[in-house]
Amino acid sequence: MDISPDSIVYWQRGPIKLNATIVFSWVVMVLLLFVSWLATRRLSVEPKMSRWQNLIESIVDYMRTQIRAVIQQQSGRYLYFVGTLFLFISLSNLLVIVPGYHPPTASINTTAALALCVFFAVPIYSIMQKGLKGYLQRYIKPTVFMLPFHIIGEMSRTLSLAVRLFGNIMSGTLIVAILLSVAPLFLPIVMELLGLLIGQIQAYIFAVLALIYIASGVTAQDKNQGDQNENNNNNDRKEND
Amino acid sequence: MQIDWFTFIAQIVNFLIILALLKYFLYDRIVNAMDKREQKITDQLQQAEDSRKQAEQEEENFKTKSQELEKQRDEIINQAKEDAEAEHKKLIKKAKTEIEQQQAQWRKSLQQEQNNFFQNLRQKMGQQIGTLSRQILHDLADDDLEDRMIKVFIKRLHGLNEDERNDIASLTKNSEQTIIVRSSFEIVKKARQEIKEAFAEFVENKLDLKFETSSDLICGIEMIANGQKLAWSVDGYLDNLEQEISRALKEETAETDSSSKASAKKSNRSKSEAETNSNS
Repeated sequence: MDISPDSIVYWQRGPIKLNATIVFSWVVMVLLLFVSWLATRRLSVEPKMSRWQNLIESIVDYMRTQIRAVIQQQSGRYLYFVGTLFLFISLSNLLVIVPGYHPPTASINTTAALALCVFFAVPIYSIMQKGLKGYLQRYIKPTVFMLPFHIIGEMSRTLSLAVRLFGNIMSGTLIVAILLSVAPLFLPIVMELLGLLIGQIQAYIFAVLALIYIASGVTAQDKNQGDQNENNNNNDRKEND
Repeated sequence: MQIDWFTFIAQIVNFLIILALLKYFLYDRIVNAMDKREQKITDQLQQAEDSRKQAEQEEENFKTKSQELEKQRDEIINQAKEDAEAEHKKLIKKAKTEIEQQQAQWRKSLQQEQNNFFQNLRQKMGQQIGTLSRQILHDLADDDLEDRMIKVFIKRLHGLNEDERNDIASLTKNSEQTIIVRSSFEIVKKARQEIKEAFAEFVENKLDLKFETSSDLICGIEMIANGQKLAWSVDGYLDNLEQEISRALKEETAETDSSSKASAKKSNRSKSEAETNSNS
């Protein structure tokens, strides 16, 4: 029994092949772009706006709030990366209710690809913030002997990111498939619902973990600055209250 | 479960593409719109706050102005009250003066009327008395009043003492002084002759005697010569009568005056009481 979307191949020529993972990734991408177009084609800066804009604004605003709550500073450029991660994974997992759909996140290739993006995003954001020297210094802190452990940590968390998402989504699909053969009525529906919930939770977890990794890479170098930002944010919040 | 490198790289590329597209099509636009709206709302709130402050300021101004106006109104009302009080006093004073003037005028006209009345009364009474006496004399003594008057007059001429006679005589001696005999009636010729004779007793010179009739003399006869006067008329009696009547009238008016003054006083007192009531 093979339930990986990688094994469903629509078209192949040599090493180039179009499997379900890539195709449904495109489907998700097109949907995301279509909704974005719907929401932003008639942008309104007035309190009165289109429903699509309202929906997307709610989501974007919620993401910004979450980012702010985690990193204790303005969401800024983190929104692009973390927000896209969340939207992509979330929509991929949400569409499992559509018959014939294979979530790309059930493929280890997709989750590994995303995890690798996070793996590179951490140093990129860190270098953008503090420069190359500042980034490299954190590997030899507090002593140079910590360098291998830092490197192992980087690797292992990337691996854990990839496997966690893949395992959850794949297992959800697998459980439904197994239950269909054991108890065809009712129970798969419940499991499907549970799968939807788990899919959203995993999207959230993946995005938040990516954010934490990036943020820790940025703020660990300059703890003082981080504290200062935290204080500023606390003050802002008090003022807002 | 194995890594398919083509799919792996394709998914990385897919993710980077969707990242770039969403950044351009979604995040930048939406965040920009949200920020703009936020700015707009902040501006509007600020504007509302400014308007509120302005309104408060205007309310304060209005209150101050209203208080000032109230104060001014009170002042004007007080001023008007004072003016009215002064005008009231002035009018009362004026009315009092007018009343006094009218009273004086009234008294004067009353006096005038009284005088006229007595004048008339005197004239009428003289005539009546003349007529009455003439009638009585005629009926009782079969004599004429005029004759009796002339007789009395002649008797008086006879009865003049030496000095008086000399005075009259000296008058006629010095110049051609005429002696005027005035009477209320026409003296007949015979009577004139008798008067002339009576004068001739103490006037030696040529006597220039002139007879006149005067309606001023109510009933009587008189001689005037260089300021000297010798007369008989009912005037004397009438004077006495007039004095009597006048005294009686005065007593009467004094009584009515005192009663009217008392009533006027009473009315004044009630008026002042009413004023004090209204003031309180």
